[in-house]
Formats: sequence, structure tokens, C-alpha cells
Amino acid sequence: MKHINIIMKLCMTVGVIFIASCSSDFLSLSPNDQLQINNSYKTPKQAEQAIVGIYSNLRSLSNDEYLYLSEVRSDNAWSNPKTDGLREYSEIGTFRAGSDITTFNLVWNEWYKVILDANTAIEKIPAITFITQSTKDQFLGEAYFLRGWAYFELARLFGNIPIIDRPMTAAEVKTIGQSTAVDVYKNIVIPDISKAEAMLPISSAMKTSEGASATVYGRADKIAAKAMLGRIYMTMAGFPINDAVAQDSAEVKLKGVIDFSVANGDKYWAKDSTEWKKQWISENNNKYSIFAIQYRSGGAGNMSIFNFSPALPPTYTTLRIFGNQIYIDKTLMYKLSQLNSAGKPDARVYNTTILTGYAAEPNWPAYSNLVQSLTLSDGTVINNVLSNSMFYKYTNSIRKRAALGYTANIETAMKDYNDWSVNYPVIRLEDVQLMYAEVLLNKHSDVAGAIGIVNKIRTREGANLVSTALSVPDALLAVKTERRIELCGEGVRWFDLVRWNDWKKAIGDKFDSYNTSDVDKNNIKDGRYLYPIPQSQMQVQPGLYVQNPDYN
Amino acid sequence: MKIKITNHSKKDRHLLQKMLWTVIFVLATQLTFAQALTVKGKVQDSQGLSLPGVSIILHGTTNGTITDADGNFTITVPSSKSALVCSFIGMETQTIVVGNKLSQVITLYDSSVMLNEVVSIGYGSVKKSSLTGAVSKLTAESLAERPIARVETALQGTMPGVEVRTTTGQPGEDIQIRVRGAASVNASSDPLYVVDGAPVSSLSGINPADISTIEVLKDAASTAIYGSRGSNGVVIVTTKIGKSGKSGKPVISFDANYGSQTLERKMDMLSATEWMNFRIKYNDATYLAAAAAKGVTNASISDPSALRMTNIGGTMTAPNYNVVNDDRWFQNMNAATQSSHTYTASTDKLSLLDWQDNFFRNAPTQQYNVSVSGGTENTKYMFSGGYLDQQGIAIGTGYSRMNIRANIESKINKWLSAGLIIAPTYSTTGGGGLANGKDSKTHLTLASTPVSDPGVGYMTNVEPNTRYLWAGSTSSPTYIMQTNLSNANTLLLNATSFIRIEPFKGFKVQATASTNYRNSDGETYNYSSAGSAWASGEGVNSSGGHTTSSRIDNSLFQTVANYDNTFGKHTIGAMFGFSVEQSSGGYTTNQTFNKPFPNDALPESFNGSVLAVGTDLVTKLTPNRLESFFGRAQYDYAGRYFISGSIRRDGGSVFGMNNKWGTFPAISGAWNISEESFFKNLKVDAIDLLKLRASYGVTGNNAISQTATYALLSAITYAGQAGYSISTAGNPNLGWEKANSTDLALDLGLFGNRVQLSLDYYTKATTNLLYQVPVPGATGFTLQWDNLGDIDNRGFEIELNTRNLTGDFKWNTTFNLGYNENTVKRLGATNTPVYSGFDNTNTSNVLQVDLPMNTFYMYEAVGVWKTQAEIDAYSAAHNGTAVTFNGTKFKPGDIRYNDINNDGVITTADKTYLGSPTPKFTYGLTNNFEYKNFDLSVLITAQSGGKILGILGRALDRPGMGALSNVLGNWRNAWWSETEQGDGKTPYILSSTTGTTIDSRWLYSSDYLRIKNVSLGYRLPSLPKIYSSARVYVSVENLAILTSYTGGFSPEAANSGVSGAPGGSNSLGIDYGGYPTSRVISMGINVTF
Repeated sequence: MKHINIIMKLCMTVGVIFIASCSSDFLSLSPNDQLQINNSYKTPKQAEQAIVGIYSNLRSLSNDEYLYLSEVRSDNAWSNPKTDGLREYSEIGTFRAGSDITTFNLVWNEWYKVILDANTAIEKIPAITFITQSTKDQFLGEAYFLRGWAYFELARLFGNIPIIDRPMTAAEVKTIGQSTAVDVYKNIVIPDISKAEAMLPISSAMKTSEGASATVYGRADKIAAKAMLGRIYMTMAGFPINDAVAQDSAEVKLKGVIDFSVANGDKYWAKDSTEWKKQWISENNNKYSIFAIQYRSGGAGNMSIFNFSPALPPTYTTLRIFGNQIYIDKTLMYKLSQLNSAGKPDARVYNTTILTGYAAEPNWPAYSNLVQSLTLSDGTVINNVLSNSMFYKYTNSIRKRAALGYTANIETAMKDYNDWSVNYPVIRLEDVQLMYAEVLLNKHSDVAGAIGIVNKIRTREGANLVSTALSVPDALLAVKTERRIELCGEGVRWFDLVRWNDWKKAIGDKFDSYNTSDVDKNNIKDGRYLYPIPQSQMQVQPGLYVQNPDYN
Repeated sequence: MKIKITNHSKKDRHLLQKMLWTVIFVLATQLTFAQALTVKGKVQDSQGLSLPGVSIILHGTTNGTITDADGNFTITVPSSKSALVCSFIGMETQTIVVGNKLSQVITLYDSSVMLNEVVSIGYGSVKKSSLTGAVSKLTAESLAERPIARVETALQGTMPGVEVRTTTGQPGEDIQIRVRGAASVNASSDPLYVVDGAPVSSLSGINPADISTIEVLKDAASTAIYGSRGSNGVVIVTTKIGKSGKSGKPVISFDANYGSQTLERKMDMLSATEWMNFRIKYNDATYLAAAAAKGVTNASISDPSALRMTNIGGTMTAPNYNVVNDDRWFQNMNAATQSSHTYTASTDKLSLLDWQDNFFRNAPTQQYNVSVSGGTENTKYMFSGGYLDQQGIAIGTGYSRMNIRANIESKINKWLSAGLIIAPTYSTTGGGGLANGKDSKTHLTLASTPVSDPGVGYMTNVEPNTRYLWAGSTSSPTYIMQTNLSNANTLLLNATSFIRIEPFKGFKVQATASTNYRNSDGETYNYSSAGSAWASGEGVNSSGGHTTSSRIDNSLFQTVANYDNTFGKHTIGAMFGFSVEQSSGGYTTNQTFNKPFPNDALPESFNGSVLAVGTDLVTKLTPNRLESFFGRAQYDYAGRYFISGSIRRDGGSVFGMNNKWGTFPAISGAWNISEESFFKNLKVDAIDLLKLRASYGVTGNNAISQTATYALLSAITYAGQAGYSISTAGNPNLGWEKANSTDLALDLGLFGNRVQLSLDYYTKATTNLLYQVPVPGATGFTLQWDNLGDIDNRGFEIELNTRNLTGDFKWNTTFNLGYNENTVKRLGATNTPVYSGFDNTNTSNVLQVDLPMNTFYMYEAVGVWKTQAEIDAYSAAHNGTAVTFNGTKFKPGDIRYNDINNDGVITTADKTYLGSPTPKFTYGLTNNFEYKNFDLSVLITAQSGGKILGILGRALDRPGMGALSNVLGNWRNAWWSETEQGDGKTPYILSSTTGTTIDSRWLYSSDYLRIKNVSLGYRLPSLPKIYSSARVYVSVENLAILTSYTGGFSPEAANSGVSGAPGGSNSLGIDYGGYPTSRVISMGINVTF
């Protein structure tokens, strides 16, 4: 009987544990080491954190898009075709790249990640109660700006792309085919950025969720939206859409930006060539750019600097730099190396935009540039053009910083060589001015006005001035050349070549000038002003997307 | 006969109805027979220890008794002609005629007939003869003969359907086990491990010497009792415990072994002289091509260095080492090479190196175990301690392990028992991860240039030497392994306690609590002196230093009730239980990024005031919880008909809110035909056992991340502001992966059970595959967890045991064969193929409907274009189309591909399916010989029908790789010109069509046959005063291998696949320089006191 009692007690104990363990809470564990979407987006602070989250997706794009898909693809850069391994930049630059190149897929996914975060913010933020409506508008305006910009980049890179304009399940996304590039511009790019322009304050009035100034964070403001609209309309006005009306809209927006600059004490304008050089110094982030991708050391730094640089010795940086073999194209090098009438080079060039070499250091070999000959389009042969110069614009090397009077060691805060605290400009005043110069020529045949803009820039840099007595086509050529020099390395060139429809000839000339049997001009096919829809996207749901022409 | 059976059945049913009331009565009446002769006796085992609980039955009756705690028994028999049948679980049954000996000492020997074994089936056990499922078993005896460092090694080649793959030879690393093929794509395909009733994640901490038995549950009928974790099979490990007895005499055993490990197989690389010869040809070819490109028409290989530089548009101030030769090479060249070149004779002796000889060493391994086991009347115990120290054959690698175990079980009173197991393990791993896979030191050892400057030897490109000018930038892998740190220390604490009540015979309730705690610390540090930048000073190369510390703890609480009894011809068994489990943990990582340490003196000190230290800390990870209810009922009639059914219900926290619970039923049955009277009437003397088994069951797989179901945000910073960005999409419907399996089997015992044969045929259909489905990038994600997809596995297994000779000279053979094929049946909603491989762009494998998992898919290399005429002829046969590879024209010396669509050009459309990374057949053959005190066993393992991609070829065996580093041996016979065509398979080194394109040149058969183990033992004559038994042995592990794989060290290797590969990166069958397997020659002694 004693046994039975104990057994009864045990059974009861067992039963209690049994019941306890059946409670549904036991299995319904929320992740306690990560945040969930459903628990967030509830307060203004969380709304701002979500907005910051959208921006954070931009980190790789300076590298993946602006360096690889614009500079490298264009006639600004040259990389010898590799035979011994796959270097995607080399494949892209030689037009051998097919749809399976990872970089294409990365860029596609990176922009759609911006869109996902923006869509979620646009859906969730309206339900949040804010004390100040203007802050709510600003956050929403930023989300619209980022989404519209993402669609703009996708449309000009890949052409026809799917529009996802709200949070959707994967099953829904799989039913959405491509919209034409024109529809993307009209239905989402322009509406979004126009909304952003209306909702956003100017930079000095940008606020955090607590009402403090957000200016230092370099987030998109009203002027950024205006400038971006100017660029978008210019793109629509050019190849392949050739929408003449868009140029009128571009003119309004571009002029708006220039007028704002003038009205605000030449905001964004570097007053002299030294100031111009200093805008690439970490300490001057956001001083001169209208909008830039923000980089801070500590894990959120700029990785494109490493990838731009073939190798740098210890007196330039304490970091290990062995990037890619991407060099300044010879024709650009020839243009950059022009001396003014006093025999001086353009102040923008040596040790600023480019680095031509360095002497040997202990345990570090010298970087000796190579020379090649170059045949200009008029048949002139130029000997001894440096062919292995490297991009150097953003490189905050110890030497460059010292030369400009900056001695603080920015490298101590860096986690690795991909962690430079140097912003990447997305749009600058000079870009806006030179686009406006194009409009002046194309729409108004205003040679004096356009060359005036060019010469304003050249005067600052000590370069020879361009004659104002040029024909409109020659003046346009001068504007284009100035854009190439001024904006070198900024990811603008390829898109300029496309909208001018100069890309085919420019790339053909580049191939000819290097005269190597490993490039094939047959690869410069008509359809290749666009990139292919990445293979992974074609495969994930066969039949959903149509591949771009000239990518089998 | 028929009438009799019916009568019996009626009586039995009657008994069944009353079983609970009559059980004690039945037991009590068993001993009440009174006859003329009384026999007293004692039963002992071969070591003279008394055996309690042995059943002594009067032959031809059901009358009998069992031995008491001291092994003594008393029985009355009708006459001196009566015979006693003595049987005990795990022992050979003996029949003894009483004769005139009224006092008997009977010795029972361990059973070699496996049918009498007891087999664990999860939360209970059955006699092997009443087994209805597919379970393979391994006992301590077979483990003892062979010194092994890890438990899994013992399973290789000894069980059909259990594929054990040593994917890396690195000491201390986990070994991959697949039970009846891989059933999953994205979730894990590892089996569930259960040690002494508690599920654990790996067997790594277990000392093989502590193991009593290992059972592998293979079919779903057996594994369904583990429900949501049963899909990939279950490996049950039971540790030893002593026997209880009145004598209380402890058994002390000691074993020690010492072994020497050497590289099993050296890879065929060019020797130093061959490399110099190759390099001269390479430089000549590069020079002629470069000069031709400059328009120089009279270039010749006899041109001296200065002229060579001039002709390629350079000068000797910056020589191109791919064009100019090292004059010192020519001392080693033959006359023809010497006379065809211009050089300055030099007597400087270059260092000629064989890196493999330098990097791989004779590594000692030693292991010591001591244990005390025994018991008193009420207590059984086993205490053991073990130490293993295994150095790796790759210099700088090693593993050591210290085990302590205490197993105690005490019978507190007649109905209450309690027990405790405590087993801490402390292990250290050295050089972990440095010598396995891509860019590892094993890879670099093969690739390192076999020549260095005079006096430098193997200290290339490390302090105080600079790089050999003609060599690649690799620093001495040997020196790096000797110098840099990559260590891990792991403390594992396994503790289990239980309390068991047995209110009446046959009914037991056991409550168990168990915890498994694992604490790991790891550190890495690169010393400045071991890098090419050593001259920049101390600390410069110290980047990459990190320490990690992690802890995981798994706890389990379970209660299981068992009832087993026999009523006449009815044997029933029932089990019901429930369990609750939780796994939780946390980790810290400290890492310095590029910032050097101030110096190399304190590599473990992460001082944030001096260093830029990145710390990643999660104090508490999301726990993983599982709650389960399970039950099983078994019924066996007269040893003829067996039926067993089980069901488990599992609730798991890893699954979506809408899909937390799953149910896993199973049913199995067996028919022992040989026990049927009609069969006995046939008088087929040769057949002792003929049994059919069939089973069906449903099992699951829950091996996914705890947070896969949730839509999550991850913390980011931008412009110095903190924020959150969406990281995963979440899927509230995510549920179990289910496998429906069937098993049909035949067990046959012939010639007095001297031949035992088991045949199993099975199918396993996995549905609702837990699968990271690729989604359009437009979702903002690339992959998302979902239950989409089906995979079928089917196969058969043969297990054959024969006792060929049974006299003084004994010879037993065990042969097993497993065949498995799997087919992908459905993938996602649209059956879109999933490509994977070494990287995501240059893929080599595909997951595609109607093909085996991860089928190799690539260009099929069919030799080399030997001449331009060959290319022209091919072009002419295809309407003059230029023969191109993705647009580039083929030249002589380029690799030729199979033009699958025969359109004259090679494009991605010509990729083709070239076999599966999973072998179709695995074989194991063990022969045991025993003569007097000698025993010899030979284990042979083999596999066939699979492929392996030796992607090391991407570094050592491809056109365009250059000649800075060493290359595979086949480059002795490379194509050099239309007149020097080589072996017709190895292309021209300067060929530029395919570069790193993955093609079948690197795809090898993974078939092999290995003499896995040969052990010779000698049992020393018994000296009862000193020891009761002792055995010395010599053993050779991996004695010889027969394989055609030349792309890497071992055809079992697997590493370097992309991490998101379907089935896990190892399932792709890609080898990028795996840590090689070693041959171990060891000797040892086992002594029992």
C-alpha cells in the first residue's frame, strides 16, 4: 500500500509536468536575439531606424554599380582582359560579360533590397503617431526618394524591370512581370521623387525623430530630390527614350538647384582648387556634395577605394591594399595630362584624381607606370601616354591628406581595408551645372552660357579656357569633355555615354586603342547599352522575365 | 494440430483478459514442480564471473528457474538423462545433460549468434529475433579489437545502409554519416544521435572505450519513435555499466595503444627537376608568344635573357620572370635542353623541394583507458578515465581528449532504482581548419613551388627570406602551420540521472533528466614572421587574430513507462512516454581586423585600448524547444507473428505559428515462417530461420534555424546612426519535413545458423522538403525557407554473416552491401533547377527533377584539340561554322568539349549531366580468424558509382594557371605543339579559351576499395593471480587503397562547396585539397584484472 501511495504521488507529479509542458507558450518562442518586423515600426524612433535601414543597403553600390558597371564599363577605365581567371570587372569592361556575372545579380538584388525596406517603411510609417507632421513627411519623403532612385538605377541599368510598389509575398512577386523602362520612369520613378521633393525639407532643416538636426547624417533632402529629378529627366531626354519634353522638365529642376546654390552663398561650390581637392577628404564629407552615399569607419565604410586601387605602399596607407588592376584609360589620361599655357597641369589631376606611380619603399617595390602610344581620332600618334595610372580620387592616403594639411589618422578607426570613412558622391553641383550647360546648348543653342559654365570650372582649376566662339556641336563636345574630367571616377561616365548614344563608338575606340587580340569589337552589340537581366533572376521563375536583346 | 492451436488460442485469450490479475500468480507457480533429482549449480561467464538471472529450463518443458544474484541455481529434474537449457541474453545458449553430476559449474560464452542479442529500439529494447524493423548493431567486442579515436569510425563498413564518410582526415573533426541516403536538401542530413537516452548533436566527445553498444535505426518503423528528428536515421549509443552480483568483485580493465600515422597516399605532383623543365618550356612558350605579339619574327628559345627582354619591349632592370630563365636550372637539365638554351653556367645549388614530404610527418597517436566496473547486490557501476593524444600528419595539427565517466545505478529497494551518469570530456584541437579545403595549407603544400633559393629550403617567403623570384607569393605552409595559432578547447559535460520504479514485474516507469553542456573556446593568431610581409616588422601580419567563446546547453526531461510480459505464447510490450527538450546557448567573438597587435608577445590578449577590437556578443540565443508524446505497442505470438505500432507527436519551436505540431505513426510486422508447424513438417533441416519483415512509417526533419519562420530585422549603422533593415522574410506556415518509408526484409538462418542472411528493400519518400527556395531578387531576398519539394530514396541492403570454420581454427565472415539511389521529384512550385558548386557563378552541380541530388552538370572534356587540322575538319563538318567556346575560337592545345547539341560551337547549352556525388553502392567485408590464442580480423570497405570533383585542379591542373606554382603530374605530358601533343588530355598551358571553367577534366570516379583495417591479436595465457585476461595486438588502419582518383588525396573528401548548397556544402562532392587520411600502424594491450 505504501508503494501505491508513492506511485500515486509520482503519477501526480508527472501529470503536473505534463500539463505545464502543454502550455502553448512553451513552443511559441519569439527570437530573443533578433528584432522582428511585427514588433517594430511602432514609434517615431523606430520609423527613423527603419529609414536609416533603407540607406544602409547603399553601402556596396558605390563599388558594385558606380565603379564596376559605370566607370569600368565606360571609356574612363581599362583593365587588361584576363585569361587566367575570372575577374568580373575585366569581363564587364571588355563587353564579354554574360548574364551569369555575379556583379549584375548583386546590383539587382541590392537595389531591390532598398525597395523592400522602402516599401515596408512607406506602408508602416503612416500609421505611426508623430508629434511633428513635418518629421513624418520627411521620413516618408526619404523613403520615396530612395525607392524612386532605386527604380531609376534599375531602369537605366537593366531596362525592363518588375515594379514592386508595396510589401509582397514571394508568391505575389513571382506573378509580376517586367514593366518597360518608360513605364518605370513614368509610373514610379518620377512620382516617387516628385513626392520626395515636395515632402522633404532642405538639408539644414532635416531632423531626427527627437527633433535634433540630422544634417550631419547626409540624408537626402529637397535639393537632392530636385537634382536627382534633373538627372532623371536628362536621362529620359537622351538615348534610348529620347523624350524631348523631359528636357524641359530637366531644365526647370537643374536651374532650381543652381539658383538654390547661388541664393545660398554658392552652396556646394568649392571656391578654389585646393578646396575642390579637400572635398574628397573624409573631414569634408557632405560639404560640397548635393547627395552622397555616407561612409563611416567601424564597419560601415567605403569599400570601393580598395577595389579602385591596384596597390599602395606603407607611406600611403598602413592598410593592406591589393585591389584590382583597373587603370585610367589612355584617352582620358591624355586629356587629363594636358598642360595649360603656363605649362601647368589641371589642378584636379595629379595626386588627386589619379596617381601615376610611387617610389620604392622598404620591402615595397616601386610602382612604375608603363607607357604606350595612342592614336587620336584625327590620326595623330601620341607617344608615351601613361597606361597604368590608377584612380585616386577618394583615396584618403596619408600622403594626400598631409599635402592638404590633414594629419589626423583616420585609419585607426577602420576595421579593415573596406572601411574607409570617405563618402561617395552621387550627385554634385558641377554635375548639375554641366547638365544644365547641355540643355543650354541643345535647347537654346546658348554657346556662351554653356561654355561659361565650363570655363567657370576650368578657371578654378587653372586649366586653359575654352573658346566661346565654338559651334554648338563643338561646344557640346567641350561640355562632354569637361564632364569626363570633372566627374571622373564618380560613376557618371557610362550613363552619359549611353544617353548621348556615344557609347558604341567610344567603346570601339577604346578597344582599338589597346589593340589586343583578347578583345573583340563584335561584343559591342547594339543591345548592350543595357545590362542583361541577371541569370539567377531568369532562372528563379522561368518565363517570368524576358532577357534583354543581344544577351542570348 | 489445427485443433490444438485453436484450443491454445482460446486459452490464451482467456489469459490475456486476466493478465494483470494473474501475472504474479503465474510467476509464483513457475517454481512449484517437485520431482526426484535435485541439481545445484553455478553459472559463470568466460572470465569466471558469476552470472545472475540466467534462465535454466528443463529441456522439452517450460519448467525452469533463474540463477540468483551469485549465479547459483537449484532445479529438480525427472532423471539423470534430463537436459538443462541455460540461456542468457547476449550469451550462447548451452544444453547440458545432467548425468550423475548433481553439482554443476556451467560456463556461458558471449554469443556470436546475433539473433539472441537484445537490440535497442529507442525508449526500450527487444530481442533481435523479435525485431520487426531495420536495426544494425555493433558491440563493444568489435570495437575493442581496433584502436579508434572516434566512435563513427567503428561504423564504417560494418553496417549495410550506413554510409560513413571521412570527409577530412583532420584529427578531432566530425565524420559524416548518412543512413540510407540523404533525405533532405537544405535541412541537415545528419542522423540523430542518442547517447544513453539523451539526444546530442555530435558524438565527438565520446570515448569509444566506454561504449557498450551502438545501434543504428534505419527504417521509419524504428525511427518514427523519434518523430520529427527520425528522417535521417538514429544512432543510439549505450555506455558500459558493471554487472551486479553478491560477490562484488570489481573488474578492472586497462588498455593502452600507441600508433604511428603516415600519409596514406601522396599526390602525384611534378618533382623539382620536372618543374624546372616544365618552367623552361613555359617560359620559352611565353617568350615566343610575347615576341610574336611585338612583331619580332626571329625570336628563338636560344635567345639569352637580355635579348628576350628586349624582344618583348622591356629591359633586364625589370625582368619578366615568365620570359627569362633562371640560369641555375640548367645544372639539372639534360643535354638537349642545355644545348638549346643560352645561359651562364652556375654552380649555385638551388634548393630542390618536395613539399609533401616536408609537410606531412609520421605522427604518433596514443590512447590510454582505465575502467573499474562491477556491482554489489544492489548497485552496478562503471568508472572510467581515458586519454587520447593524436597528432595530425599535417604538421601543427593535433587533437587530444580527456574523458572521465561515472555510471552508477542503484536498486534502492525492491521497486525503486536510481542512477546517475556523469561524463565530462575536455578536448583540444590544434591547427583546426588550417589544413582542409581551398587555400588551406594542404592545398598550398601541393601548389608551392618546388624550388627555392640556395640555402632557403622550405623556409620560403617567411622571415628571414624573401620570395624566390620565379615562385608564387605563397609563404612556406610548413612554417605557417608550425607557427600560427588555430586552437580550440572544448569542455563537454554530459550528465544524466534517472529514477525508475517497478511496481510489479514487467512494468517500469523511468523519469530521466539530462543535460549536455558544451563550452568551446577558440583562438587564431598569425605571427608576423610567418607572412611575406615579415620585414615590415613585428605585429604587421597579426591581422585575423580572434578568440571565440561559445556555450550550448541541451537539457532533456523525459518520463517513459514500459510494460513487457509473456503469457504463454503471447508476448506483449507497451511503452508510453513524453519528453521536453530545450537547447540554448550564446557566444562572444573578439576580433582584430587589419589592425596589428603591438607585437607578437601576447597573441591572446585583446586589449581594446591598443587594438581595434570588434566584439560580437550574444549572451542568449533563441532557444530551440521540442515537446513530445510517444508510445509503442508490440505483440508477439509464439515467436511466429510479430506486430509493432508506434506513434509520436512532436511540437517544435522552430516551426511556424500555424504549423507547430506533427504526428509520426509507424507500423511494422514480422512473420517467422521457420517457427510454423507446416514449415517444421517440411523438415528442411538446412533452414533454421526464415523470417519476413515489413514496415511503414512516417518521420520528420526539423534541422533548421530557430528563427527561420520569423520575419526579422538586423541591426545596421549608416552615417553613424543606428537602424534596422529587414533580413529575412519569415514564413509562418513553415512546418516539418516528412518522410514516408517502407521496408521489406527477409532474415534467413542456415546450417545451424552458421549462415545468416538479411535482405532489406526500402523506399523513403521525403515530402515538404525544408528548403531554402530561391526567390526573385525583386522580393528583396534571394532565398526563403519553405516546405517545397520531394525526394525519393530507394535501395536495398544485404547483410551476410557466416561461420565458415568452427573448430580450433575459427573463421567468421561478415559481408554487407548497401545500394541507394535518390531522385529529386519536385522542387518548389515550378520545378526550377537549383545550381550550385564551388561558387555561385561557376556552378558544377544541379538539383533537378528526375535526377539524383546534386548531379554534376558541366562541360564534358573529351581531350585536347591536337592540331589546327582537327579543328578545321570539325568546322567543315558543321557548315564551316567557326569552332568556338562561348564566342572565342578554339586553337590547337585547347580543351575539346563534347558538343552535345552538335551545332559546331560550344556554349552553355553543351553542359551535360555527368553523374552523382553520392556513391550508389557501399560495401564492407570483415573476416575474423581465431586459432588458439590468436585472432586476426581484416576489414575491407568499398564504394562505387559516385563521382568526385577534384576542384583543386582549378589551381593545379588548368590551362592558364601559369607556372609560378607546382602543377599536377599529368602536366609532364601536356600539349606543347602540334608535334608534341602530350597525352591528348592535358591541354596547352597557354590555352586561353576556358580558364577556370569547370569541366569534367577534374571529375573523377570516387570508387575505391580500401583495406580499412587489419588487426592481429594474441590472448596471453591466463594468470588469475595477476590478471584474468590480457590481449596484445597490432593493428593497421587504412592499409591500402585502390582508387583512380588523382585530383586529391582521398576519394571520400568533401569540402569547399558554397555554403547555401542544397544538402549542405559537403554534399556536392567537391574536394579542394582535403586534409588527407592517414595510415595508422598501432599496437596495444587490453588487460582485465
